[in-house]
Amino acid sequence: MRPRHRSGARRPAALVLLVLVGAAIGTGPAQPSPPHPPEPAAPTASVEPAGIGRPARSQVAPQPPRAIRLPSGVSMPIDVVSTGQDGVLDLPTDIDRAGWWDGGSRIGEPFGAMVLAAHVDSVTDGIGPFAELLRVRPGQRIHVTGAGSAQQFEVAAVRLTPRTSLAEGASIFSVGGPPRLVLITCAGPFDADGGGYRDNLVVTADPVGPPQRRDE
Amino acid sequence: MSSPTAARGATGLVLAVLTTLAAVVVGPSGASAADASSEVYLVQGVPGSFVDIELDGREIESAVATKTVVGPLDLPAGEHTVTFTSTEWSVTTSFDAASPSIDVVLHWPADPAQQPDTTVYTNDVSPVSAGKGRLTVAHTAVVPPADVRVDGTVIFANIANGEFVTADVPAETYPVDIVPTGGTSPLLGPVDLDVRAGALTRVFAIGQPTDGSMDAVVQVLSSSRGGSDAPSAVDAGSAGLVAPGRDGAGQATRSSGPVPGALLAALVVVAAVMALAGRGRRPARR
Repeated sequence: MRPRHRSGARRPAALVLLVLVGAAIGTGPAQPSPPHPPEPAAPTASVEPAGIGRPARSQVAPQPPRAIRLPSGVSMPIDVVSTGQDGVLDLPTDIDRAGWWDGGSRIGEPFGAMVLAAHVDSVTDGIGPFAELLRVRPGQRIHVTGAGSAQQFEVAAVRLTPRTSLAEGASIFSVGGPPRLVLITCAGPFDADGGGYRDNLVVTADPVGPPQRRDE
Repeated sequence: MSSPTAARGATGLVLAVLTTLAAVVVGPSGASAADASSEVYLVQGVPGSFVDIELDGREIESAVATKTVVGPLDLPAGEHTVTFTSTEWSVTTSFDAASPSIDVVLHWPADPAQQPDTTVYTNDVSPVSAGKGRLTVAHTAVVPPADVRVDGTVIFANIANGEFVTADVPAETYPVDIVPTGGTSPLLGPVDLDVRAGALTRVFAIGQPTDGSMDAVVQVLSSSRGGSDAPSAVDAGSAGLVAPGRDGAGQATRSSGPVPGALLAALVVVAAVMALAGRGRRPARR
């Protein structure tokens, strides 16, 4: 990504050099002599390298989430997932893995929803860890980690929404608004004749403080 | 902060930013064949000066006005030398064209000096998600460390001269101002900053407040699109094991414990039989 330079010492030194060079050249800004362009100053002087623009110390490098720890303490790895041609989010088949929607926010972004989803169950593997969201309560903590950062979230709202109209609540996937975590799974009555679960369960959680750096 | 000069300055700035925006939007450059080259922009960030620019010993532009962005210049990777000359000073620095896209910015350092500094910034035009633009704000002005605020809320904190901050943000127009770190009196702005989707918007704060020359250079570079569209559906279950009445997990009323293993096994068997009978849904939808 972008270069990280731990300078601080270099620039003052460069500045001192510049000042010294300036002093050596002799004069302050003598009265500008308009008619003629100036002689190039000291063409033989050694050429200083340009400074390198550095990220401010407050800069957070956003990172995709890699793992989530649910309120029960159970952790799940996270895969990067995309929306398919049919508009359906392409979740990991494995019920023990969650998917992070790649159009949403990463850890450390100042705006928008970080959307994670996982299967609540499957015929082959039974019930998955996301099933505990069916009984999650506001105030409970969820921990999300990336490659070099981690962030705590606190559950703010839990709601059921008909699976066929999930996207109508546009804010669920919005890249705007305050930073937040959105967890999605399935719930509600089950139609075994092809309809599947009637509802999506949508859990919204707010950050508890800014992301923390962590060493891998 | 309500002095008439400040208000005038802000209006001027809005105009200036708009003009610059119109002037500097650069389309996606054609896929450059060789990786071993760099698109280099030279940014004139010194207020009140016209400068001649020499690159690798050859004059490429003369009398370049403040806030002009020269380029892109397609330069071979490696070391180059640029000289900016005004009537009062001449600054020669070398820079390394190491990234696919860089800005070489001529600007005053944080403390008053006899001649400007040159700082190189790498342009991050890596993919940005739908609906978002990448905003980068660089401090190249004669002021101490500063905060960037949107609607009075600090979004980027404590940026010193030569430093930058960056984030992918929703593509919209932001009322932005720059204040001394921890302060509330704007050094610059507020100004409406338009962040375009699918592009890198670079803002260089330049000049100095003491002579009223604070200003901003805005540069917009196209970037590619990353991530996928928002889904219309999330199908996240296929066995009905947590439906109300099946395991009691139904809704928030459930009080404890996982499903007893025997019951779970039975349910799996039932579901499997249903699937085999052709009445059930396909297992494990993706």
